[in-house]
Amino acid sequence: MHPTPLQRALAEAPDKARAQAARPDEEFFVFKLGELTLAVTSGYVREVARLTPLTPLPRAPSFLLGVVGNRGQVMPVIDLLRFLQQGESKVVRGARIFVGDSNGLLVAFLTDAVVGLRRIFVADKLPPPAGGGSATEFLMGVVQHRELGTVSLLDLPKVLQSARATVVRR
Amino acid sequence: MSARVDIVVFEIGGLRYGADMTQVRRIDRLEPDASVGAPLGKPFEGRRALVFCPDGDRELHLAIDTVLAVQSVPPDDLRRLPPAVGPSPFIIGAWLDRDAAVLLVDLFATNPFRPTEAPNA
Repeated sequence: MHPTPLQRALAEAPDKARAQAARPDEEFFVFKLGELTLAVTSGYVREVARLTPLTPLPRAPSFLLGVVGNRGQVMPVIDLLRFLQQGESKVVRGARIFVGDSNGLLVAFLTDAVVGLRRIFVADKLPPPAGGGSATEFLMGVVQHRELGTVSLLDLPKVLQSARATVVRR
Repeated sequence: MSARVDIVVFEIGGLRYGADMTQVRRIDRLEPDASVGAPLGKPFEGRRALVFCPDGDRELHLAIDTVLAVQSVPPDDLRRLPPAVGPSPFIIGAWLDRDAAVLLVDLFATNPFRPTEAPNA
């Protein structure tokens, strides 16, 4: 018996969408900070939490807002706007923070709002804009997202490494 | 089980700090001539002082706004500062008072008159 056209088509059907297979993507954790929409590779994000009482550190650089207690750990809190020299965040009690983890270095980052996880096509990444100031040094690229507009992809390990070096130098 | 540690909890400029009770000789009025300055930031009033004696004879004063309590703290609630905070000569750790981190101060290390270490011969 000859197979029907449907049976033939099913025999040749791909296991998953061809478009998806041909367009690899990465998962990013997306958040808002001031006028910026930023994203970091989701694997570097350990958790999202509320800002608990912040204890400022004497003689710390301005981007290091202080330390908080989080799940029994003392954790530094960084204002990325100050770190990237893009202004400064308002510290509001109960604000959302996310905990970044790179090579065992745990640091909390202040956000204005958490957007959530989004998949971004690798091919959609554009290089950081030229002349974007010192912030571009810490960007892996930017994407034009249909829902979110311009999203800057932050190189979190580089941020942590540089922040730590700045703190230690002082 | 490790013994609890007595910590003097005090306030400077609206922020809480703690110091080892054994380093504090007494709480007194500030004597400006003996002041170590404001290593933890400026107090609002700073009329009172934690008096300590790092080298046995000279008394030094750390200006504070108020002493809040002497707290007996279990070692399980003490934490070293994480590496990303960087080294500090006098902030030696934190006491986790529930969610709030109270910075712990080595009073002796605030001594601005400390002799600097001689370079290796």
